[in-house]
Amino acid sequence: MGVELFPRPHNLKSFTTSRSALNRTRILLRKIAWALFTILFVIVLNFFIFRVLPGDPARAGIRDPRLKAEAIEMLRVRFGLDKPVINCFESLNPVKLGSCNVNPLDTQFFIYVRNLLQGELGISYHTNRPVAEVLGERLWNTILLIGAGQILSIFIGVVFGVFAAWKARTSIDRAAVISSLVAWSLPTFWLGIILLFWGSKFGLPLAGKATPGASTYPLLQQWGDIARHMFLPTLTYTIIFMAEYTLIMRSSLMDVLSEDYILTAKAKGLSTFQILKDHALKNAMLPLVTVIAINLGFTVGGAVQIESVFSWPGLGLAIFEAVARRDFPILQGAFLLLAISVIFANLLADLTYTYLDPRVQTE
Amino acid sequence: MNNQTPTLSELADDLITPPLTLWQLGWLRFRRHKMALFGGVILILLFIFAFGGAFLYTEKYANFNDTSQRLLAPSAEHPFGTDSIGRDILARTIYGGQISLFIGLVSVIIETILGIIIGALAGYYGGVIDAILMRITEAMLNIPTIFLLIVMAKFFGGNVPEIEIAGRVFSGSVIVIIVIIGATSWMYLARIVRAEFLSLKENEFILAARATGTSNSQIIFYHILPNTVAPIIVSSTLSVANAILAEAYISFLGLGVMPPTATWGNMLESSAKYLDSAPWLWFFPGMLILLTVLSINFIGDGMRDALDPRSRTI
Repeated sequence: MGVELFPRPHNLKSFTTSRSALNRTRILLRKIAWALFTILFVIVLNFFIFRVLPGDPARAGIRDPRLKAEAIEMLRVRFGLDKPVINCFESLNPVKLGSCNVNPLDTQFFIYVRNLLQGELGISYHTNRPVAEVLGERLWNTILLIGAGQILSIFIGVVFGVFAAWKARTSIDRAAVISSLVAWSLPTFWLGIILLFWGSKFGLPLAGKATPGASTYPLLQQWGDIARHMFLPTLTYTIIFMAEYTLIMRSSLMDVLSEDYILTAKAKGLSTFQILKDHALKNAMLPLVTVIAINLGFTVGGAVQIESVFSWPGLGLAIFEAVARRDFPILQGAFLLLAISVIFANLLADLTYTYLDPRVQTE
Repeated sequence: MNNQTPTLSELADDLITPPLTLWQLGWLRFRRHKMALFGGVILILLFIFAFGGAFLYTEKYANFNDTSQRLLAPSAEHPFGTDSIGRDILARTIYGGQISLFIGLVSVIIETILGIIIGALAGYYGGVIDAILMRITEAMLNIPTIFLLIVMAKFFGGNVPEIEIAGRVFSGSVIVIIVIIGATSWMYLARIVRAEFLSLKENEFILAARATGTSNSQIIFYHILPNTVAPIIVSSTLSVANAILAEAYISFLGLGVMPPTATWGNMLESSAKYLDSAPWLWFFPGMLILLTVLSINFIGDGMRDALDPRSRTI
C-alpha cells in the first residue's frame, strides 16, 4: 500500500479540479442558452406548420353547416383568424400576399407570441375551453401512466440486465437478450392488442381510466378502480421499456466488468456480489441514467400508441382526437408542451452525465 | 530490385493482418454473428412469402370481398381465415407484405438521401450553415416523430388519387406515406453523417485534395462520403424497421395507406373490434410485422459489429 508507481504532482491535481469546475459552469450555461434558443425556434416552427397545412382552420374547426356566414365571421374574429398571418402574407395556404404595411403587432404571429408570453395557449376550436386547461388535465393522466411504467421498467430492466451481464454468455444471458430483442421489436400497439385479448379473459377493464360513475365511490375504491384500469396499459409500457433498459444495462455492465480494476478487485478476493455492488454497478448505471432522462421527455408523447389502444385519456389521445377534429390550437399547444419537455429532458440528461461522470469535462 | 520472393517481414505482415477490405472483413465477421445470419434467413423467407406468394393468389383475389364468407376461422380453404368483409387474410398478408416492405425500403432511401445531404453540408461547411441546419434538425427531433407523422398523414393523406404502376393499381396514399416517413426520420442520420464529416474533413488526404484544386462537391461526394458508408448503412438498415413500424401504426389508426390496398398495418385497423371473436384478424399481420422488424434488428446489430472500423479482429 502507498507505493505509487507514477506519483502525480499534487499541484496538478488541484489545478485540474478548479479548472473543471469552471468548465462545467461554462458548459452548463452554454447548454441552457442553446436549449432556450431551440425553444424559440420550436415556437416559430410550431406556428408556421399549422398555417401551412391545408385547410382553412376556421372552416376545419367550425364545420357546422347550419352556421350563417356572419356567425362564421364572428368566430373567425373570436379566434383571431381575420388578421393577416404575418406582414405581407394574408394567409400561407393557399399563399395569399397581403399588405406589408400592417402593424406587425396586429398579425396572427405576434398575437400568438404575445399570448404565449402571457402564458396563454389559445382556445380549443372544438370545446371552446382554454387549451392550457384541456392539456393540463390530460398531462396528469399521461404522467400517471408513464410514471408507473417507467418506475417498473427501470427496476425490472436493471435487475434483468445485471443478471444477464453477471451470467454473460450462458443460456440465461442468451434467453434474456433474445426475449428483450423480441419485446423491443414488438409494435407497441400490437402488444397492446395482445394484452387486451389476454386481459379480457380475466375480466380486466379494457378502456378508459375509470368506470363510469366511479366518482361517487369512496376515495379508496376510486383509486382501486383507476389502478385496475391502469394495469394493462402500464404492463404494455413496462414490457417495451424494460427490454430497452435490460439491453443497455447488460452491455454497459459487461463493458465495466472487463476493465482492469475489476480484475484487481477479483484478485483481492472480493466476492462477486461485492464487486457488483461496490465497484461495477455505479459506473455501469451511467449510460442508463442518460437514456432514462432522454426517454422521460419522449415518452410524454410516446405513450400515444398505448393511449390510443386503451383509450387512456392522456396527452397522446388528446392529440389524436385534435388531429381528427382539426383542432389547431390544441395541437399547437401540445406540440409546444412536448417539445419543451423533450428539450428539458435532454438538458437533464446532459447535466446528470456531466455531474455523474468525472471524465466528462469538456465537450 | 524487383525481387520476386517476398521478404520475411512482408510475410509476417501477411500473417498478422490479412489484406482484407472493410467489406471482406465485415462479411467474415457478419458470418460469425449467428443471430444476424438467422435474421437474414428470416428476412429472405419473408421476401419470398410476400413476392413469391403472388404466384399463389392474384391481387384481385386479395381484394375480393364476399360478405357471406366473413370472419371465417382459419381452414384449408382460407389458411389464415377471412376478415370482416370476407377477404382472404393469407392473400392480403402476401400483397400487404409487398406494400409494407416497399414502404419500409423506399422511405429509408428518401431518409438516407436527406440525411446525407443535410449532414454533409452541415459537417463540411460548418459555421453558419452548420448552426442553421443543426437547429432545424434539433427542433425536428424535439417534436416526437409520431405526432409529425400523424398530423402530416391526416392533412396530406385522405383524398389522393389512385396510381397505376406496372399494371397494378395502388392507393396514392402509399406515396404520401413514403414521403412523410422519409421526411420525418432523417434527423439521426444527419447527425451521424455530420459527426463523420467533422472528423474526416480534418484529415491530410482532404488537405491534399484541396491543394490539388478539387472542388468542394467532389471532395464531399468522392473523398469523404465513401468513408462514411459503413455507419450510414448500419443506421439505414435499422431505420427500415422503424419505417415499417411507423407505417403499421399510422395505418392502424386509419390515417395511413387506404384500402383496398392492403398493408400489414391497415389490416390491423379494425381488428381490435374482433379481439375475442376473430383473433386471426390481428394475429397474422402483427406476427409478420414482428418477424420483419426483429430480423432487421438482428441484421442491423450484426452489421454494426461487423463494420466497426476500429476493430480489426476477424
